[in-house]
Formats: sequence, structure tokens, C-alpha cells
Amino acid sequence: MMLPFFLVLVLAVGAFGDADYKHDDEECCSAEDRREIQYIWKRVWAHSFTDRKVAIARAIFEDIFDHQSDAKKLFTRVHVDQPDSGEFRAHLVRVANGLDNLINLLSSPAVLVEQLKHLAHQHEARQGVTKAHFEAMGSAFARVLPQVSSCFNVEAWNRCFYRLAKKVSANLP
Amino acid sequence: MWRLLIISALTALTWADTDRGQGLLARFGETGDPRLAATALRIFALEKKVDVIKQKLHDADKFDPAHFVSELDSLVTRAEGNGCADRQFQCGGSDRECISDLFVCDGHNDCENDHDEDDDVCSTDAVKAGNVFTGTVTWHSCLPIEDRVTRIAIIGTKRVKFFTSRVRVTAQISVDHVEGADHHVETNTFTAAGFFNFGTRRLVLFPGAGKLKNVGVVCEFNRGDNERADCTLGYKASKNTCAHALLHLQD
Repeated sequence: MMLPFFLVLVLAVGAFGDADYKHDDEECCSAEDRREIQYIWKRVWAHSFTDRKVAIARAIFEDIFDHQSDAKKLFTRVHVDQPDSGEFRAHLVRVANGLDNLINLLSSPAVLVEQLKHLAHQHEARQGVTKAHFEAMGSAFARVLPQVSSCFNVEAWNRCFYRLAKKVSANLP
Repeated sequence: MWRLLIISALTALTWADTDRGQGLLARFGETGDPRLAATALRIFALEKKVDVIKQKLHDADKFDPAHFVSELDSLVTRAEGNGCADRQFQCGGSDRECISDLFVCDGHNDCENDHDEDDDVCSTDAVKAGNVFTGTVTWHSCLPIEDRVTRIAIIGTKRVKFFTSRVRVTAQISVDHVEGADHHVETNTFTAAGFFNFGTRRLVLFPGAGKLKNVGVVCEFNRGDNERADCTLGYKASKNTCAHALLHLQD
């Protein structure tokens, strides 16, 4: 009578143990991950001219539009139909600088949390932005950044990016 | 004179615990020549001494003073630094000289004392194909991984003749880990490629895929031999260290 009970207990503990481990493994954005991303990011943004930022951000947006066709109409306000227009290029720079800001704040979590809340409010104000769009943005970065930076650590990037994106898109549909 | 002979005979008797010894004693006892018997006893005592010395030689094999000194020397050098910048080689000797590690074992004497082309500096014994280094990797950051027994097997080397200061190395890294409720051992194997640098005595390996895809393995043969290496695992881009291991060559 006692043995089956014991077995069930062991199995249950085992299952929870595994689940915990997997959760940590997938989600934890470790201090080393954050330092790695800050290091890579500095090299992606090798110089302060906007050309490189625009080119990379545009590649990321094109990837998002390829995978989430409904996302494109969200950006009509910034002239997404004329990708070479000043308005759209300025928007790309704003997105790149916004992310730059977040990555620089990875070493000051208290400020980062407030900044993420602020960004979340900004996106909640835009009708039609969904959690799925942020997921697509994450995959877009994971596909584009390895092409512009050698030794790009996709795993570390994903672990940290999805944590950031989750906070920004927490209240989105 | 007779007393001495009796004493030595008694000594020999106490020593002569083997059949061979007793046979000798009996044979010479029959001949009746005491001087011959005494000589035989002396020869027998000498044989015993030779056996003891043989045993001592065998034991002495375990202690290698030269090896010990060279290990101590490299540990002290590591602690005090060699005065050279990163990616430089210290020629050593009494007049200190630093040269680029790209010039070490390139077939051209660049040090004043020619130390950069010495046989012991340019030995490829550490990265001979077939070498298997083993040890326990201890992760302290980056990823939540327990301590695991890890083997690095050198499966191939290539040294291009126009750039001999590096040996290109292909290796197989296998990691044992305990899985499941029955705690059976599973082994993950990754293929890694990298190089050996004679100047820094470092073997650098990059696993191409799997969990260690973004991790580089740097093994420094800094123990004064080609058999033990201090290894560090770290992120490739930022060089943040994640894990340590002391690997030694498997017999």
C-alpha cells in the first residue's frame, strides 16, 4: 500500500523538478546573457551614423511584414508605403534607439522596469498591436542579427528579448 | 675469522627464506670448503640487495623531479606574468624578449635565443589525433547546467605548411549527464573545430551546434606538460566565462 504512494510521490516530484529546470533554461536571462547582448549590440551599432541603424531596422521590419502580413497597415501613419521617405526612416531610427535604450538599461533593472512600463503604455495606445506582433519581432531579430554580427548568440538574445517583449506586450490582446 | 664466518652464515640463514637460498647453502655445505660457502653467502646477500634496489627503482619511477620542477616553473610564471602583451610569446632565458605568437614554430628563428623554434615549444604531442582529455566541467554561470564529466577527443589535425604557427584541430566533445528516474547516463556529443597555438599553449575549440553553440572552449596546457590542461568555457562574443575544468590525458 505504501509503495505505490511513494512511487507516485517520487514521480510527481520528478516531473515538477524537470518542469522547473526547463522553465529556467528557456526563460532565464542571466547576467552573462545580458553582458553578451550588450557586447554584441555595441558591435552591431559599430558607428553612430543612422545609415546602419536604418538598414538593419528596415531588414527587421521587412521580415516582420513577411511573416505577419497584417502588421504593415499599423504603420501607415509613418508612411510605410514609401520606405525611403523621411517619415518611415525616422520611425526606424526611433525603434532602433528604443531598443538600444532597453539594452543599455539591462544593467539597471529598476530603471528598465519603468521604461518597459512606459513602452507598454505607448503600444497599448496603438489599436491593432498584438502579442503575436511582438513574437514576430523577436523571430525577426533572431533571423536578421546573425547576418549583421559574427558570433551572434541567438540563444542569449532570445532569452532576454522575449522577457523584454513579454513585459511590453503584457496587456496587449 | 671463524666467528665472522659463523655470523655471516647465520645472517644468510635468516635471509635465506627462499628454496633457492636453502639449496645453495646445502650444496656448499656438502663441498665442505668454508671459504667457498662464505663467498656464496656474500653473493646471495648481494643478489638480495640488488632486488631491493630494483624495487626502489620501480617506486622512484612514480616521482619525477624534472616534471615536478617544470610544473612548478609554469605555475610561478603564470602567477608572476611573463611581461609580454596578449598574443605574444616570451622567448625566456636571462634576456627577456617578446615576439608575436604568430612567429612561434613558423620555421624561422625570431627569438635571439631561437627558443621560438625549440623542439619542446613546437611539440604537437598535446593535440595528437587520438588524444582523449577528460575531466569534470563545473558551470558557475550562463546556463543552469550541473557538473558533468566531459571528454575532449582530438579526432583530426591539420597543419598547413605555409602557416605552421597554428595546428587546426577537429575534436569531439562528449558530455555525460544523468537522466530519468532510473538515473541512467546519457552522452551528448558535439563536433568542434578550432586550433592549437604554440605561443600561448592554448587549444581553442568552437562546438558547431547543440547547447554549446555559442560557447568557446579554451584549454591552456599550463601545467608544464602536454597531458593536463586548464579549460575555460565562455561566451564567444563577450568572452564571459561560464564554466571551468581541469582536463587530463586518458591513458
